[in-house]
Amino acid sequence: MTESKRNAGSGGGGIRMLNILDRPLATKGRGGGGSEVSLSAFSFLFSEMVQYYQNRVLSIADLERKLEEAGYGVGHRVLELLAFREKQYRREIKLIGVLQFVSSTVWKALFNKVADSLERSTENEDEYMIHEREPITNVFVSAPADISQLNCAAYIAGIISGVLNGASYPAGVTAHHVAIGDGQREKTVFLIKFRQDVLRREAALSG
Amino acid sequence: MSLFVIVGKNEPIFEADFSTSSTSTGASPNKVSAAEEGNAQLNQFILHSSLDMMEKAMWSSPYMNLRAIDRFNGHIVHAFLTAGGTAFLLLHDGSRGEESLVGFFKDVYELYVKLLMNPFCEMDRPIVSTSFEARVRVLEKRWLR
Repeated sequence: MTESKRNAGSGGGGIRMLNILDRPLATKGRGGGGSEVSLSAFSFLFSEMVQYYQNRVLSIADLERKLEEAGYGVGHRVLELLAFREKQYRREIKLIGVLQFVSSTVWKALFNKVADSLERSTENEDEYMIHEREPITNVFVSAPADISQLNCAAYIAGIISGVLNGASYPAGVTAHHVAIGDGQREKTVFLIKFRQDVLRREAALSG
Repeated sequence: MSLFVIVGKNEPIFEADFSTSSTSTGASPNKVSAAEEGNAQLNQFILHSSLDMMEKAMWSSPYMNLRAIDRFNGHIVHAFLTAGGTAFLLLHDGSRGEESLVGFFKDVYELYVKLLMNPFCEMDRPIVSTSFEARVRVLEKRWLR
């Protein structure tokens, strides 16, 4: 009854379905843009997502892989959106430029802060690390003892991986817990390992 | 005469042929379509062979607009590469200025980003949205005529 009424109303020219291509792109969250998502809403959705996957996997590694997969598509979209908004039709063709794009531009857009630090591994030249004291995904997470090695920031690792792969810098990204200070507190380190051909290309371009 | 193709990481995901300026009601429709078909195949060939040139150009320019990357028999291939590695290729006869080409690419880029924001739109899969195609054709009328 109500359904038919609404249809009749829209037929009269009142309501029109707005296509996604007609709408302007979402503006920046800060400064009254209004596209910021509340932390509780995000945390609720995220916890549902973790529980959903938890019921469908056999191991922690699988669970983290699932979270990474979920983040991957987000990363690719974030890359295109932020590049469109902030890069003035330029692309990154330097490895360090891409990493800085991730640790500053992407971080700011997603978490409203820059990453705590970006470092190059001293042991392997194809490895970089992004440190983050309290990733937004871990704020309300305390894993039980039997799955204590689980790091839900695997979702963010997936996002990073999506950005890097999209930008033609394929890399594997993993999230790890690292104890800091007295060992009571932990931070998360995102380990970025680039594929060999990326480094070869980088060397060829700069040389 | 111009052909516009969007190429993802692995395959073409969108194609719009701007040369078929609606149904030309000629006296011998069969003959015309045969010639046009040959042309269309040649255009496809030129565009796809220019992909190699694009791969060369993409690491020497920090701009998304890679400008004219290939020429063949008076046809020019212009390329625009997005941050996510999706390429917009336009084959045209060189009658339009650089400015209108850039304007066209930038507007298509905005459309593409909007399309991508749809969570149901899969990465690197053919674009099936009819409204996307309709809007690309509108942009072609605005910039390339």
